Amino acid sequence: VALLATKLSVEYGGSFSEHTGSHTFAMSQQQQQINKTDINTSQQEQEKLLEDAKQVVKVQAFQMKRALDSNKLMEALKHASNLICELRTGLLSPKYYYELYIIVLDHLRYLEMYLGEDKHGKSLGELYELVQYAGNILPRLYLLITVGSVYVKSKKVPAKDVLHDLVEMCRGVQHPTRGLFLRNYLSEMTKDKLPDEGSEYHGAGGTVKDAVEFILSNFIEMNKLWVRLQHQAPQKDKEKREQERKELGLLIGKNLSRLSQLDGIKIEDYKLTVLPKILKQVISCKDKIAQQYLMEITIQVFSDDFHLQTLDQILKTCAQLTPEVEIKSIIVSLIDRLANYVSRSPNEVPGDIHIFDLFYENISTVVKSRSPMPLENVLALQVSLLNLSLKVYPNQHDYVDKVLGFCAEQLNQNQQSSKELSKNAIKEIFRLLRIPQDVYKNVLLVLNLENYAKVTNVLSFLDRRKISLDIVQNAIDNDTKISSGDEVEKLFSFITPLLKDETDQKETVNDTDFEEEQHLVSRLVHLVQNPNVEALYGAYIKAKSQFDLGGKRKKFTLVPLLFSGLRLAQRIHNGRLKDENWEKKIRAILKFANDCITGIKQTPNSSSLVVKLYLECGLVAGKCGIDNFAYEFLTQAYNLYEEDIADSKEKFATINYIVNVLYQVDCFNEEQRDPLVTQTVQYAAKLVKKPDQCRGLFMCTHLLWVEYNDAKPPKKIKDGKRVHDWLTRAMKVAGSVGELEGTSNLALFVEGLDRCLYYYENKNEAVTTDFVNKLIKHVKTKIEEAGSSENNSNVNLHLNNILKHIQWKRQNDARYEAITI
Amino acid sequence: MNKVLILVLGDLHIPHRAHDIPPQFKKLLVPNKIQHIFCTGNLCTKEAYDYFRSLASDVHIVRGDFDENTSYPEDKVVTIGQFKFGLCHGHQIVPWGDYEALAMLQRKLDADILITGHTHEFKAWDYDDKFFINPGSITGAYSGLSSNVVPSFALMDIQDSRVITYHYQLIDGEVKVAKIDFSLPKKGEKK
Repeated sequence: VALLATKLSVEYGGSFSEHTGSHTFAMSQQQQQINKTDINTSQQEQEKLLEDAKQVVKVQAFQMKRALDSNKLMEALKHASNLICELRTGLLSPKYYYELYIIVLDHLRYLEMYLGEDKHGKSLGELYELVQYAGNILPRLYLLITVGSVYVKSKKVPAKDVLHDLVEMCRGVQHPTRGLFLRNYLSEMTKDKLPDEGSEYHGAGGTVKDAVEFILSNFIEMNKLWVRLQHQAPQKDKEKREQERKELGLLIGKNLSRLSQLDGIKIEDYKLTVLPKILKQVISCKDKIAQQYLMEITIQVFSDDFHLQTLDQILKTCAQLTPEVEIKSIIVSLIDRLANYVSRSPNEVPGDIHIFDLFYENISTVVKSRSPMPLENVLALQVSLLNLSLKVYPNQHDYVDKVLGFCAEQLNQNQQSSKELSKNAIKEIFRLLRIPQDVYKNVLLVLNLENYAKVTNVLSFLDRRKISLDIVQNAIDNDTKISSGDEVEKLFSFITPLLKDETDQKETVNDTDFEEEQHLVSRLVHLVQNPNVEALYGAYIKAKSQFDLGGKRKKFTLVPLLFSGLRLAQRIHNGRLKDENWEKKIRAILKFANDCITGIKQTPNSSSLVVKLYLECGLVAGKCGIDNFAYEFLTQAYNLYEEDIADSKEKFATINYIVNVLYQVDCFNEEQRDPLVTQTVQYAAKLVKKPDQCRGLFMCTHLLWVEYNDAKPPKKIKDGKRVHDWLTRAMKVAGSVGELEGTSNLALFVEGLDRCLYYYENKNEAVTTDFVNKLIKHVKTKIEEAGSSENNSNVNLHLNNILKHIQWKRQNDARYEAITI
Repeated sequence: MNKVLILVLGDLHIPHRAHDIPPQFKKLLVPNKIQHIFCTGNLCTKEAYDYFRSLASDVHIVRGDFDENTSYPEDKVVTIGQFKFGLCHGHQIVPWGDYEALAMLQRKLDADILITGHTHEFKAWDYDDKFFINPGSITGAYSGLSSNVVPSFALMDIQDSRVITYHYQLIDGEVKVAKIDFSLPKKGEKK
């Protein structure tokens, strides 16, 4: 060996002792460079340094290649060593060092290829010894790795021996940046030479165990170097250093990636050997950047079934990480991965692994041990757990409730220390409340969760309102049936921000939003359904008692409730042959409807709505034969007309409605009906505008010409003469319409004509052919007098249509022949 | 020949008497397939109007007795192709649903086809060479006039002087369709 050493030292330009000396020199030079490490040099300076280094490398690489071309291996090695020496710098920041490193690697690849071709005549074993005499440790190790790689490939030596040797030798470089890149080179060069199961190096070259040991060793050392990088710089450069470290994370992470790619690692090995070693290093390094990154990578690279078996280990490790590590994202990514995995392949879960319990217990521990953990992070963890529970255990509603219970507890504690909820915390709370809604698609199931309300109640009024709107919208979208008073009560207790003024309500909702919200609540009422009449009525009563507390909201909410009642009354009436109590029930419902109207009446500007509602109720009462209720409802409508309806257009519309409803009601006797009819005609006659009077009278004529075929007994009211009289009266009013109003009386005349024809068609004897003919003549004259103008064209058209109609009628009815057109 | 489809519907009464158009109907109502919408009224709120506008760009609405928007007209006349359509809710007509009274309105509006609602009962008939149609209530909303309301609407397909009306109704959760044919008389010809 000594002889060899002397020979080598001559070639290398120095005696062995010198060599040792130069080794020391090299060390002290390194030391100096460590002290000189001032990566605060500006970008410009870095670029200059890099350029200079690249120049040297270029020159040396050229010479190396020339030497290799002439098979002068020793000379080539000398140049290789020189170019690697540029990597000995301590002045480049990782970013620039990496650039240099890549260039050097390129040249080493060339060398590697040459060595593999076996043109140099030396054995690889010899070479392996040879390169260890390189002057400085860094080129020595780079060359060793290069040769070692070829050596292993040749299979002349067991892979495990070389791997073990190399990973140990690398300890010689303790400088963080240089060490990391060196070991990265080691990792890259050996990645396809690991004695994994199924690889060509397995067996004689070693076993998976050797591969694992190699990678783990490299990983642990790299992590130590990486952490050391943090402490190199002065305190003031801390942030910059942290940024540089994060950029380097990939180098260390690759080791874990390699581990995950080994086919030969079985689940037991992972559980008992591999993972514990990784986690031990993670914990012991006590460095927040390393811990954060490594935990995330570990979860990323290893497979889901491995994670399932080692959940406990990972979660317990999380609890021991340094306080600055943000474990929320670590655990959340783990939960989400597993939730997806298990929902995709539910059969893969071993029966003895209770995922939910494991997570729930460990998260509770973590939260307690790391307090004060920011509330939003605690909640984010719970949201992930909620998702897991819904995906993996869809039928275990109590798991969801458990999660909500934990959150409620945390929120209460937070409230007691009167801390305001951060925006992110509120975001997480919304997710907690919305996800069950989306998944269950049935608000009643959601509201059965005992802790749901507890979580909702910590929110501000406006946020509670948002959740309430979600609940109502969810019920409507999913057509969720609400079938009992209890369910109504429960649902309504969750949407109180929509139903009444709340004590903590500081802000008023703007009008448009308020209306939209009330429309939504109104729609909800129609989801209350039940085939059992009593149960349904009970539910309506409950709903009303809640709506009654709503003040101005009653104008919106009691309307659908009223109509639901009327709908129920109709249902009962349809089934009256099978139910002897039908009339009692309908009376009760009509009283309920009346109460609803009373409530609506208390809200401002409700008169025109209320009068229609009274009439709707009157109609129902009439159709069911409950004449005293029908009479009362109608008189209520009349009272309101007299007291509260002032606008002339509304007055007219109301009379129109009254006439139509009165026309439909067949249960009144003469005593009841006459005063109602008389009063209606008086209203029409008293309208201020003459055209309204005229048309009102036209409408009223029908009250005297009606057949009630469903009445018991069937009856007719056909007072032909009075109809004729009222028609005449109306036409007189039309005639007296002032000239200032233009041709509007022409339209009235034509309408009147058509109305007379209605009675002619219906064989009212008082409306004679003669009467009709006179009327036609009169109308035609008036139109001629008015002359033709744009305003007249509609009237002319109308008249022509009537005349054409008469002509058409002649085909089937000879009486029409007598009418002259 | 460009297809001319008209959706005829009304009396939704949302939210007073119903919470939504039945999903079986909503599935059939796809945007950009229909050119015109005639609505007999009683939406009763803006949300329904917005929904109609999302289906077609030409929407005609007349005022129903419970519509919150009081600016809709009492009646409307729209000409499409060879047909003059008259549109009115029908609560103004005395008596409600009376054929002769409706014919009076048709003559006044000079309509070839009169569309009215209010009774919540689908009806289609012709009289005096004119066509009358009531699309019923698309939501099957309660009506004091009818003891059994079936959700319904109509789709009209105009082809020159002929209109084919498709009557859609929802019975026991299933959509049933019936066809009604009507043609304008040839000029000078009376049926």
